[in-house]
Amino acid sequence: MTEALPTARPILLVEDNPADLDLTRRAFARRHLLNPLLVARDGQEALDFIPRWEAGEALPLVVLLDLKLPKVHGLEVLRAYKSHPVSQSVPMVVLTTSEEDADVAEAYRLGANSYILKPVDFEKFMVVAGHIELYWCALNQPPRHG
Amino acid sequence: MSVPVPLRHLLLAVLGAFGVLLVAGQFTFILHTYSQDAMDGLAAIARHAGGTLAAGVNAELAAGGEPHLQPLILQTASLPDLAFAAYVASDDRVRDASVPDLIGTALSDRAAHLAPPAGIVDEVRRAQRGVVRRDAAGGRLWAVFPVPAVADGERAPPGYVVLGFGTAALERAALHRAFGQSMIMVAPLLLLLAGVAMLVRSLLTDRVEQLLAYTRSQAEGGRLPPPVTGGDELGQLGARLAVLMQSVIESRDYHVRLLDRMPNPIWRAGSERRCDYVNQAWLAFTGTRVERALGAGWLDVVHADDRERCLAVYQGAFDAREPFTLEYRLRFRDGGYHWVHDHGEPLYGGDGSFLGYIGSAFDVQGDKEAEEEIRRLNTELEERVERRTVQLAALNRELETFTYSVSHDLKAPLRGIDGYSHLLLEDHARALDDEGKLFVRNIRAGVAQMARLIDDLLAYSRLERRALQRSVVNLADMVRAVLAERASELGAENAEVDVAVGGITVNADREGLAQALRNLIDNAFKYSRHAAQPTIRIDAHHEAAVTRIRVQDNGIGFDMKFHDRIFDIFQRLQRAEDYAGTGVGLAIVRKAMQRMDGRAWAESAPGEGATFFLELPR
Repeated sequence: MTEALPTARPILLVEDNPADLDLTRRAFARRHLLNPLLVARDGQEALDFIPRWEAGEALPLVVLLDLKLPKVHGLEVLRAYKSHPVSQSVPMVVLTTSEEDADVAEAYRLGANSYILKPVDFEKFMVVAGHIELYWCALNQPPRHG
Repeated sequence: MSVPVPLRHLLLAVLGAFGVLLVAGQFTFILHTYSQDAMDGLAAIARHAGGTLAAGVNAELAAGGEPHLQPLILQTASLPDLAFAAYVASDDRVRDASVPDLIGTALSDRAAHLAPPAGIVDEVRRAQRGVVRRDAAGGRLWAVFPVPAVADGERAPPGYVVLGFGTAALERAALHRAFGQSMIMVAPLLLLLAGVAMLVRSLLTDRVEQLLAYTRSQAEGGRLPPPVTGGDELGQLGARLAVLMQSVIESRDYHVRLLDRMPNPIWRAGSERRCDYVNQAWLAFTGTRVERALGAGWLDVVHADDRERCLAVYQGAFDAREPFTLEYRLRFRDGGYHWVHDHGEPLYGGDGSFLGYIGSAFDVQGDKEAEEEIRRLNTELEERVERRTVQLAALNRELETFTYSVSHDLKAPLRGIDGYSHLLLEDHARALDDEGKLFVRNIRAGVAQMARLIDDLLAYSRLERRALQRSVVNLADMVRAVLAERASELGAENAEVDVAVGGITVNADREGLAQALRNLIDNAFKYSRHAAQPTIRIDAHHEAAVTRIRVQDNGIGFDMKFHDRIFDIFQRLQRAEDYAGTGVGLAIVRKAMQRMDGRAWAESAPGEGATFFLELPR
């Protein structure tokens, strides 16, 4: 299987709030994100991706994970992804409003690659989105699969 | 130490010695006198007889022819005590003597008692004179008279007549007489002695003995025998002594009566460790009779479990002669036991001798019960506090979770409002007129304020939720870090920031201190940004027991009457439109300091800037 071009590989966004979802899309758009954006609307949907990847679907470049999710909590998703061979090495960025020490500590313990705070201010959020795109989609070397 | 001799014996001994001396003296004197008289008498006879014999011999020799000396010599036979008479011629040979054995012998050859000492003979021959002398050693009186030499023309040593008298008999006689005379003296003397002795005895020593017995009986606790009476000195002494004794007894009894009246049980033990006195209160307390309490009976009324300990302490104290304190259960008259607090003190006599112990006991049963009650209440209280604490902790945790979730859930819609209002302004500016744009901007302002409020609330609640993590904090580093976070704002207003904290380190909760500093610096900047030259000064110094940090600005300041309010949560002094803020910042500062056992306060005057202080214990 040939490596897809980095711009072709998707970004998986796990976010339940419709407003947050929409605004995130728009923020990435304004930052000229080329990669397709996949969405999981709750924890369960996020877990459902695993069999799809097992089946051969393209792995995401990076997973942006909110913690406060219905059905399955973000940290659970994190644990599941990091313990499953197919998804283990996918970079996971926790993107949440929670600054709580407990959440940060647990996220890293479970293997999160990064922990970013979601600002309320949209302008600031756009800056953050830009940074994420720059780092994870352009700068960072994704894990090789195959 | 010498055994004291009774006076009576001493007196009798003195009198006896005196008597003996007297009799002895008398006897010696009489003996001497009689002896002397006898000797004098004998000497006179000897002189006379000697002279007569010498003259007779002389005449016989002068008459010529054969001297007939025998008759002359025989004449001396009647002399008393005569041992012998002899005529010794110039050749030292006895011509004639009353003892035929002597005739023809040389007297000087004879034993001492048969011949006069040579000294006398020589003296007589030399002085041509008679000598009568006693030879006490030989028991003789010698009379030696010279007889001139035989007239045959030759100059020869003269002869002599010698009369020897035995003195022994005379002396024996004198002795007997003297003895007899002395004996006559002895009888009246003995009578005198006896009389004096009896007198002394009855007037003196008997009464003294009586006084002695009297005082002795008191020391031994006996009853009073009649004291000595009489008008003389002894009688007075006796009377005074009786009075004294009476008062001593009364005082002793007084103290005993006093002890008996004491409300606390009192006991006394002698030096042999047995109880010899208990007061009425003791008997009433224990409900025993006095006979049972004395001796070793006190242990019987001590609770069985305490007996061993009591005995050990008691014995130990006696050994060391130290005061002791004992708490034990003493049987009460109702059959139960009461805790008592007993204190014993060693007793000493006036001469420093150890007499035993005296002690008193206090009923502390009430105290013990109160103690028990207190202990029980305390335990109950602790349990209650424990339960409450658990409840409180659970409540706190609930609150934390609640605050946390609420804050996050409140933020979500804010993101939406902010995001869409921004997009509205950006993408649909054409559709909005100036007023429309103003409305949107106001909406965004509201959102920003709300976000800040939620953040501050979260920060405030986090203060309590987080555990304190004390560490050594380098102030300079921390201040620099906080300033770096605000670098752009500070730079934008050209604020001058002075940091003078030196190398001071403090022992503090890193997060909490950083938060406090951050808020103070934010405030300092906020309220001084409109000054001509906004200046913020941060310094720190150590004092005796604390470290003090100062954040000073040259901003608008405030009236000190609002000092306490500004540290309350949600209290603001400025209008929101003039100075944005949530009213939580200083509340966070105060809480953070409180958690570190420090404090925060401020000094200011309207228009003259403000100085905020943080103090931390060292």
